Parts: sequence; C-alpha cells; structure tokens
Amino acid sequence: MQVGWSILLIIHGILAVFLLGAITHQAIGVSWPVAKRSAGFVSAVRGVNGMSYTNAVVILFVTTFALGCIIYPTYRVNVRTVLQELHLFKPEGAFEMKEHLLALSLALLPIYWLYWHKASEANRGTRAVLTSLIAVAVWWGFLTGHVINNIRGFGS
Amino acid sequence: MTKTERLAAIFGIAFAIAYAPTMDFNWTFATYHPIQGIWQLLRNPPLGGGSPAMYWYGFVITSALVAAAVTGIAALLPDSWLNRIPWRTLSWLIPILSIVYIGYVLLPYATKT
Repeated sequence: MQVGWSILLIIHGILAVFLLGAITHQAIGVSWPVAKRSAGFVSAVRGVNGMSYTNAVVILFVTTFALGCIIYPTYRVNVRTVLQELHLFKPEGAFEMKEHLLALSLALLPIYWLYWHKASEANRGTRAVLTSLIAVAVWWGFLTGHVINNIRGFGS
Repeated sequence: MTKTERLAAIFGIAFAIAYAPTMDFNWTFATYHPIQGIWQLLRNPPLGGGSPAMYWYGFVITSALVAAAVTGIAALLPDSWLNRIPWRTLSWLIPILSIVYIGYVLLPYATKT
C-alpha cells in the first residue's frame, strides 16, 4: 500500500513539474513580452505564444490538484503529525498556505481560460496578473511539497 | 466583456470572498476522518484514537457552493447593473486580498517556536 502512495506522489510531482514549466513560460511571456524576437534563451522564453499553453495548464492543474486531493489524507496522518511533534511549524504552515493558494487558483481557472481563449491587448494586464497569481501558487505548492518530502517523504 | 466572462469572474471573486472566512472560522461543509475513512456533514471533532479530522475538503465545497449560488443569482440580474462593476480588475484584486487575509490567519505558524 505504501508503494502505491509513493507512486501517486511521484506522478503528482512529475505533473507539477510539467505544470510549472507551462505556467512559468506563459506568465513570463504575457508579463514581459518581447517587442522584437531575437536569438537567445531569455528572448525565446519571453516570446512564447501563451495561448498555446492554456489548455495544457488547465488540464495539468486539475489533474495535479485531483492527485493531491487523493494523497492528502496520507500526508495528514503520516507526515503532518510528525511535523507537529518535531515543532516544524514553518513547513507545516507553508503546507497550509499551499492548500489555500491552490484552492483559490482552482476557482480562477474558468476566468483564466476564458481570458486566454479570447486574448486581446485589452485584457493583457488582467491575463498577466491572473497567470502570475496562478504561477506563484504553483511554485509555492511545488517548493513546499518538495521541502515536506525532504523532511518526511512517504515510506520514510 | 461577455456575459460568460463576467460570470466566470464573479465565480472566482465569490469563491475568494467566501474562502478566507470559511477557513478562518471553519465553516466546513464536511469533515473527513482519514483513518476511519468516514465523511460527516459540517464540522465535527476528531473521532479519537489519534485520528485527525480534515476540514479542507469542506472549505473548498463550502466556497464552491457559495460561489455557484452567487454566480447563479448574478446570471439573473440585468446586464446594465453588472456592466457598472469593474469585474476585470476585481477578478485578480479580490483573490490577492483573500490571500493576504489567509496569510495573516496563518502568521502564527511563522512566529511560534
């Protein structure tokens, strides 16, 4: 059974990496667009077509979120109790924040998708803030999950 | 802004407004007891035997139900009323304010030793 949870956690982590890549590209592209495409890595990142990432971001977010919901009880029983016993309140609080940031981001996905679906110069500012907001939530979730897994990964 | 965009913005805004006090005051829709695998409606204490009670799923459900109800009511209101409100700005401003509220609620985690 423990192996099964570990496999789910690893899949959750891999999907989170894909999501991080997609949302980060999109957030940089819309917040810091390149005026004239030139050679180089930074220019290439800034010059991505954000619209092509939208469906992938939504699917990856929902899938990663759903997997997180499935493995969450295992964290609650086997990991959080240890954090409390060891007085590791900062990682515990960071995980609490992760839950809330990602729940809020989930509710923003419909408007995020609609704005990107009909992307225009008029809604570029809103798209930039919404995408960055979701990107920050995903980064927070990923880094917190990584730290928590370092403290007490499943099977440890 | 189309009606669909406006309603999607209202859903996100209403969810953010509902979520922060829901997690602060524990207005959970349901409680999950992971060791026993039991769901209970509304807020319930742990069942004992070292089993925790999980409320976060219930926070999401509470906020989603509130947001769906608000969005449903907004769909019935005339466009002339709703057009006066800057939904585009509110769609990111309210979630950011909600995050600040949640951060304040969770501040003790950063300070206690």
